[in-house]
Amino acid sequence: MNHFERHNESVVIVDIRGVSCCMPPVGEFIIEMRQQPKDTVIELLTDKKEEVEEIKDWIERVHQKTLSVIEETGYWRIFAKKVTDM
Amino acid sequence: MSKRVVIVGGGVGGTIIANLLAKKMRPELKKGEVVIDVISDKPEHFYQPGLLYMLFGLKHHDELVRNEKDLLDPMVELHLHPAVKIDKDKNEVHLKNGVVMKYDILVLATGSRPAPDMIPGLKEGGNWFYELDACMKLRHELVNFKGGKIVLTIGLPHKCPVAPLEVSYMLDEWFRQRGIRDKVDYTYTYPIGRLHGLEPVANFAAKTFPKHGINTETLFNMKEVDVNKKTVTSLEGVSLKYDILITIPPHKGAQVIEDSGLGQNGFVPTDKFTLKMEGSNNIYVVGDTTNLPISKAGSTAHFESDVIVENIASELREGLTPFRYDGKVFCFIETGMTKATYIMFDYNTPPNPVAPSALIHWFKLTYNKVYWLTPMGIL
Repeated sequence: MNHFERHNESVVIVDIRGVSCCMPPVGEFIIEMRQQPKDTVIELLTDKKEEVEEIKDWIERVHQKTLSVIEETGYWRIFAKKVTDM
Repeated sequence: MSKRVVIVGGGVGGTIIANLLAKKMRPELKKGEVVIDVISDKPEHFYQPGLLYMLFGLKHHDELVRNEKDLLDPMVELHLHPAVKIDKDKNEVHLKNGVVMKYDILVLATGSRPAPDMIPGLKEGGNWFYELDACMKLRHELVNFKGGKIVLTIGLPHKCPVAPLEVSYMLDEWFRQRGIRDKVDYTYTYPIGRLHGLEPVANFAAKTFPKHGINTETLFNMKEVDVNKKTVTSLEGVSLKYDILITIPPHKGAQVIEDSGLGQNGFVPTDKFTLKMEGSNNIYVVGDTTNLPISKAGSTAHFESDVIVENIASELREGLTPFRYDGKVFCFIETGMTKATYIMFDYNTPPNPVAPSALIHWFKLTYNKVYWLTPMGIL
């Protein structure tokens, strides 16, 4: 159980580690952010460091909320919340 | 007691799996030890990539359709009743006609479809070529077009991810042939910060689009279409005027997947190597139905099918499922009306588009004619 589940928030995990030839993390993140209901927390796991900032920029641009970015060994966990419908 | 393999979906993935499995398990089928059923909601099998050519009058409907029954191995049973519920705890598929089919192994091959109603105004204001009627409507719009602004917008997820590039290159040449290219202002948009999900393909487009006079707008995720003002606005706050809005709508999976609680928007959480539904030991997922972050393309379903068939046969004979999918995908990319390139890639090997040539274009046209050998399990 992670921090957000402990606070009774629905968390959707998108794990795209280990796949280098596909839609980049920001694309998968857009798909999930659009299809989940408001107030969902999305946790994206990616091993592409350069895309972390791109995802954070997009979240800000479309008025959603980045909760935290955690660096693990060789990958990053990005937590974001869908705060408005889109 | 025979083992029953039930395949839900009569598209390319479901049909290949049925036919390859019937060939591989012929002795067991003849003895009645294995039974293979395909459930489909329609009697026809439609070659969807042909719609790109129909848009330009280069293919006729009759060339793109065959009876599913004719494509299937005679030892495969076809049930032409839609599946309305899948109960994975009871290993049952419920059909619309009230029949309940028990299975030992289930294959979900239910595909995906454009869902323009996910974006306000898109169904009314947009034109797409991923479905027959919509394709014919767009064809009429284009033939009668005398000039103005064309905007192409793309929703996520969507199938055939190179088709938006292909239609852009082909329209450029088609308008040139008609002598009105200088009157057409064409803008290609893309939802992320480059021109395609695959980086080498995005670089290829960035290099070639200027030569074709194609304008671009990246990070453009459709928010709404105003049919009266003829504008499409993005979540990122950009608004584009259009005379014709061509769109690749965001896609959804099959309703039965959603209704059965197997996956949001009809896409099933799938292990990227085993192609089994996450948390299940006897449900495989193929093609567009998976939630994998790879191209939703016919070739994806084709290559996945090979792995699924090997694992099902191995499981039925030995109780083992040792085969793994490596993410292999192959796509032709038309770069005009007379040339094409192609890409081939897997989970860890990026694509590398080769220089476009007439030879590759003719190869694609040839494949369009012999496609039927693919679902039959021959090619």
